[in-house]
Amino acid sequence: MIGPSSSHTAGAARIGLAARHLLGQAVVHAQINLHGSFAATGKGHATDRALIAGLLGMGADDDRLKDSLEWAKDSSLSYEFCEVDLGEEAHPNSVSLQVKAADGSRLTLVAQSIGGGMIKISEIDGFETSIRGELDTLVLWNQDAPGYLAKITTLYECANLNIATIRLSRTSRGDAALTTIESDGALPPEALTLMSRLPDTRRLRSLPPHWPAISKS
Amino acid sequence: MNYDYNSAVELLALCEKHNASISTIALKREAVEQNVPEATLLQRMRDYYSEMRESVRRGLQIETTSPSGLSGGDARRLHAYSQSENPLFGARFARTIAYGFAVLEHNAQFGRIIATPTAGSAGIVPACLLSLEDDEGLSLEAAARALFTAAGVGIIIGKNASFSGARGGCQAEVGSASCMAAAAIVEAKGGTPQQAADAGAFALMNTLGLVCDPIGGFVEVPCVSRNGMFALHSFEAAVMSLADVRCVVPLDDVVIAMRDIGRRMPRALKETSEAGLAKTPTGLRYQSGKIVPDTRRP
Repeated sequence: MIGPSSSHTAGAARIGLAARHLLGQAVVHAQINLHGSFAATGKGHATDRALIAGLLGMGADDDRLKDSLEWAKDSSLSYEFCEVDLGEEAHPNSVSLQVKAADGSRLTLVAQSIGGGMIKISEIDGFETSIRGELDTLVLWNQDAPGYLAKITTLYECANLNIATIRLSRTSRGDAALTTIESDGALPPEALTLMSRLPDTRRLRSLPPHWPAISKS
Repeated sequence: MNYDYNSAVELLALCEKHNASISTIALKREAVEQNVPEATLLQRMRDYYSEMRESVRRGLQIETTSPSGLSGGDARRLHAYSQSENPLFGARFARTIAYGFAVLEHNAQFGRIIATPTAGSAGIVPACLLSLEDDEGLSLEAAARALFTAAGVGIIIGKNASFSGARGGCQAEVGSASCMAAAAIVEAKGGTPQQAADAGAFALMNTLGLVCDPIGGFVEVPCVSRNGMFALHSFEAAVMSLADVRCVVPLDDVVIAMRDIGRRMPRALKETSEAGLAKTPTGLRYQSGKIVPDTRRP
């Protein structure tokens, strides 16, 4: 990794990169709210530069990380940092991110940097979740409907893939929901195509383990 | 075969059952968890060790200060002193400290480092292993193994406490690193798994209560010197254990104590730079690193 702090720099870069992966396209604007120790020592620990680097698609060991604010200008990424209080219960290294793409797509993310560069995503678009990014991860924005999970898990079975964790959270019955599945291996593209064609699937993102860096295209 | 474990007791039981070292169990566990051949993982660890060596080498060359002005050039000074005519406690003493400084100075200048287990504590394990390489002929292969010993012990801390300074103070970072390094030294010197665990317990026990109050929010003061000093500290713990001194409090209990103390430690002393060294007259001069608060908030 590129310094200075594994929690405040490497973890922060990974959180930024997760947001970039989940949005699925280049970020043009980011509102970044820092909580606790992230806010208190973020500047010295380069949390700001790391988050921006991640949002630009850079990995935690990218040499360009230290100059990411300059790179943001070149990539027309605008951003705003704020300090927030997410409450006593929140992990001291928490961040809440709102990112926007050029086509108007938006994504919100709440994540924690839990030490040694490891992270946990606790919320996506207001839905509670728990993603560590150490396994292949599928994120589905879906309509809460009977049998939806059965269809999805059947495709995992067809691909002979073992599911490690699965979680569905919804706002209310029959309303929008978010499903996250971590598995021991990646789904083949055919399975993803079938999933995206299910009438109750609104959107999906398949993330490889450890969120690889995204080269600028 | 399942090699997973949640505690030092379970790890030592696995070592006994398979008549294996901590590094072997840790390697086998990782191979199962990641579904990757052991040889691939060993190669990856060798590569990490090469990166560690490189970060030490680069750090020893630093002559300029970091952007904050708080560090830079001291690793070089220590290394030069170790090569002087009659360095106190012999050349190895100052050289090992220099190695710990070097990684953190390199880190403060945005150089590439391996977090072991964190960036703020990344100097300790490399300093110990390089010292063993210099003076005990530790091979690249043995260094990679030693990193698995360190990782094997680290897993116990990761599962039962935390490595995060913001969560547990410096004891969670430097304490964990020193614990991992002490165990690695013992195994590299031919000690038993029990002796390695005891060395880890001694090292962690002696860092309990260590707070995280970095000046200006930079990972430099007291982090740089602390990494140099705690590399030697790991050797002290290893020596005690190799001499068959048993730690009265077993590693699992010391980890519980570390977590408990971390929870009770005030937030101001957990990587917020709101107290301690950060708030001394000297510390306040470097306080500009703080992110500007949201002025829109009432």
